[in-house]
Amino acid sequence: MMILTTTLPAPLHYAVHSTWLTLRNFAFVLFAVGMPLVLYIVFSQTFAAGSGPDAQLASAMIMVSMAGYGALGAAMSGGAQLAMERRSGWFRQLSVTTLVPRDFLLAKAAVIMVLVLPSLLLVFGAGFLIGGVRMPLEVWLTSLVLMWLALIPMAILGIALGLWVKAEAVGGVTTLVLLVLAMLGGLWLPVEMMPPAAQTLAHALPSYWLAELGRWPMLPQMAFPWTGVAVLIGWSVGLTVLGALGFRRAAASSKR
Amino acid sequence: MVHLTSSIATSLRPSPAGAAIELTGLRKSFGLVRAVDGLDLSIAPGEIVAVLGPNGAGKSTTTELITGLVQPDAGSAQVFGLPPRTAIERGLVGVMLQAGALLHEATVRDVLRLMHGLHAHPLPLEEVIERADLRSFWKTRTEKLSGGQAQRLRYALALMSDPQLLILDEPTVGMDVEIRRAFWASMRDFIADGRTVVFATHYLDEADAEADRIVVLARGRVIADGTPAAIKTRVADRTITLADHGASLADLAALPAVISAERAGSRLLLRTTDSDTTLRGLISEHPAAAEIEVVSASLEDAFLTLTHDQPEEL
Repeated sequence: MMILTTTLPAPLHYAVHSTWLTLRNFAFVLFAVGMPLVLYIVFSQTFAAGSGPDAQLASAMIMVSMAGYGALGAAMSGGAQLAMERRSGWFRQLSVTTLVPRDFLLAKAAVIMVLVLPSLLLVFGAGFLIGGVRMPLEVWLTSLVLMWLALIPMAILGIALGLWVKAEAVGGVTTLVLLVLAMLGGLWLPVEMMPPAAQTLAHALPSYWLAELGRWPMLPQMAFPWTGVAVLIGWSVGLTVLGALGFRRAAASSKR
Repeated sequence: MVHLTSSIATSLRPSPAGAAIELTGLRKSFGLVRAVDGLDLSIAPGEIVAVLGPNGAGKSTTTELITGLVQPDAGSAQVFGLPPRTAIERGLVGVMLQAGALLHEATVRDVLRLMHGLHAHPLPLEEVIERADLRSFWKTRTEKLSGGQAQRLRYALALMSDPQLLILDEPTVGMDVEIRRAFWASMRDFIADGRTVVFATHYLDEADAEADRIVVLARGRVIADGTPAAIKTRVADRTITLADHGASLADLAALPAVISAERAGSRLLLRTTDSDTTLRGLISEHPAAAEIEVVSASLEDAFLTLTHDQPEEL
């Protein structure tokens, strides 16, 4: 029998093992990776069929939206996992190790940042292989890196939800948040097709800027969305405060 | 083959000084509930202490305070002279939480590997597996474990840090008699080199057999503390009931080995530490005694006598 023991620092050791266990989880792979992949293929074949530059651009736009949607789902499922672990008492069990609770949450956030990668990479891969998207390598890479960075507030959102929402409700709440962010942020339908009020709202959502940052390298005439960077930083700060409050509350009531 | 010698790390570590656990004026309330209410307790290294008490006595909260899971409202908890959190981080403490959670959607092996990397100087995994006897369900998912198997995994997690102090909150719940015996045998082997053990239990006989000191908690404070033999003379282990034949309660309470006597409806109720002696006295001094029944006292019942000695505080 092979026994894998590592000498990594505790938070890193936790992050590595936790990531591996989640990637092995069938439900996670199905919903956070499989579903956006299938949706991308269906949408791109339906709305962006053909081989002209217009079709190719449309296919690329759908690719960014679906990759973002999948990554958002992965971030939410990370939060749901935290709520379940709090409820089952696994959080407490981890608290009687060298892993301090703050590092545990940082490790959890790091895990989420890794778990969003498969949906980004696979949907982008499908864009190339099935959707017929052809772009210079640096455009692919810039788009991926920008989207990955734009997911930081969504990872923090997952953690904050996991700290505030009860395990019984967390599945429903994270699904709702995912759908609202995806729909109002224009991941399902372009924001331009929405009424003006909804468009204003979209510009305040992290999910909208997630897709905008992903599209920016593909659209040469588009200015870099600095507003989006500011909105994303704002969400990150706000959600970190919310998460910290949730953590204090959880610790004080011993409901870790 | 694994040799169950204690790991080298144990002998290399500086031996912790002072009391293993020192609780001074410890208080913790949750809302209006005073879970721990002025608890003083000192446990020396190498002691094996059973903590007994009815539900709600503050056993679990005390465990949480000693392990730094909750912070006291007042007073202090020190473990080997250190704040609880520091002692945990140095790997001095192993904890088996009551119904402690196990990671879901993971096998026993996954859980052990995950936890192994989170301790300062963990025991070799092979030794943990051997001591907790996990080999037969090594690849089973945690949600499919029986109650006893889950307890063995929790025990393994408590051993993992190679601790000097083991804190076990109701460790044998869900174990059948045979596994319980094996559990205590394994525990005695693990602590043979002078580790300290504090365990909470509901079973008086288990406390009597395994501990060299029993601490009784009620309403968040220590109400009795001594050797099992000394404690047993103070708690009722049998209740005798009989039809009310009009005897005075004072006369009945004066019978040998009786701790308390009371009227309960149409029956008289005697709590005794030795039902045989009491029965002999009862029958010779009260020829009218009839419909006599002897029942084992539940732990809750047994401690009623102890807790009644304490003035009720509001």
